[in-house]
Amino acid sequence: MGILIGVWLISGMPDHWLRRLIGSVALALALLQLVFLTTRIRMGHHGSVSAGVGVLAGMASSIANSAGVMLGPYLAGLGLFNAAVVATGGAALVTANCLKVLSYWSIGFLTWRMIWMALLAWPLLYLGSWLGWRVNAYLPRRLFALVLIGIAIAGSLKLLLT
Amino acid sequence: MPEPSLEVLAAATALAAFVAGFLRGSLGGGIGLALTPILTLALPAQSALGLTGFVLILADPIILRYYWR
Repeated sequence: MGILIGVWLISGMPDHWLRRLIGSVALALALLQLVFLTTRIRMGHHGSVSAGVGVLAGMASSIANSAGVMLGPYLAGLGLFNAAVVATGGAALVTANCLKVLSYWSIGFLTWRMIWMALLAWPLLYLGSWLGWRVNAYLPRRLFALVLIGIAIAGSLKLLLT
Repeated sequence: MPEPSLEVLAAATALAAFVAGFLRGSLGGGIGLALTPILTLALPAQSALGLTGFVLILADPIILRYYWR
């Protein structure tokens, strides 16, 4: 449901407004992730929280492809270890991503040219995935996550200020 | 919607594919958080969202293969 709400929100939006929306959402989610990373705040697992996380994750996914920011801490709060968080989050996102891509196609955000280009880049995707899987156990997750958050904040501010 | 040039789209797709694959395989999340704003700086916002979304969907089966238990 969150994905459909998000796609409805961005369909027909002019490019400059969409850039600012993406920048705003990405900045907010980056700061949220920073809070989760640097404090002991954890998401509760009451039914209403779970439903809310689901809707917000869907909206974050469709507006900024960032459902993981909501899902990751929620799954980690369940006490899962790293690989289980990655796998469970990945499985949850498969269905959501299918719906999102179909929605993008329907509003013209995804074209045949992009699809062909992405398919041609599949070897690079496979190589990156393999490399990521190999280093998963050795990666200093906290440092790496902080670097990503820094990149997200920098990119978001650039979008908002230009 | 303004279409990016072929060269820009190819470069953006290559970068997005490798980075998305690596981040999905290692951290599992936060890919769009970093990648979407960066791609939006080089591409029209609509193209950045569509491209990132499709690249992520291509990454899903690969990651499930590695982490399926």
